[in-house]
Amino acid sequence: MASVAPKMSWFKITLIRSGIGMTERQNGVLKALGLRHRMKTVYHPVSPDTAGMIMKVKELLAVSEVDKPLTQAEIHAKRQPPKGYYIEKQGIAREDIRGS
Amino acid sequence: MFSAFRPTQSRLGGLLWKSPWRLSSNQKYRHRQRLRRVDRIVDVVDKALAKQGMTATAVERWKSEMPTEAEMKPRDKYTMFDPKQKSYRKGVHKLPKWTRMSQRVNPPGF
Repeated sequence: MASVAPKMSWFKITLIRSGIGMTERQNGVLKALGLRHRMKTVYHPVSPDTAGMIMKVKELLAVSEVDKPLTQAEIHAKRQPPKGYYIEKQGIAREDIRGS
Repeated sequence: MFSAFRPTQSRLGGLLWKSPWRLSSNQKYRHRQRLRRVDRIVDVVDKALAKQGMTATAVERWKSEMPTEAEMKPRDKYTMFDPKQKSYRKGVHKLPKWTRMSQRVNPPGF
């Protein structure tokens, strides 16, 4: 009915409780969502199908709505601690200091 | 008194696993947090679907049938129906995997 299609969004789903000992059905849903182990994060588009899957295992998950999904590489990079140093580039940094 | 061979209930009687009759206040607190987390997830899913102009049967059904943590009475939060008990109630922590399950409503008439 809406003339303008709503912006697409994604569910960010993290498994925070293990599926060990839960029913076959629930573990199957976890597998279908791509949640193999605890603290694994996956992104799925907002749809009734995904919502139904989330509802099946809602006691085990943390869910939020996000505008765009991150790739596995981006998730990994976000989890890395800071290196504790940065490499100065000649001229560029100095210009910035003078400018401010 | 603290020896390895001290006469305790389990040493004298063999296998003895005891679980407390009631929940501690801290267990109750953590249980409320878990209930609220489930409420929050249902809310997030419902709002995200509504933005797209969609609904899901599972979400609608949960919203119509299940009370939220705030709507639940303490009796339903911390105890559950049990036909074998004299009072028809037992601690919700007697339910296997109770920290990863939703147990909110009673059978009709109880």
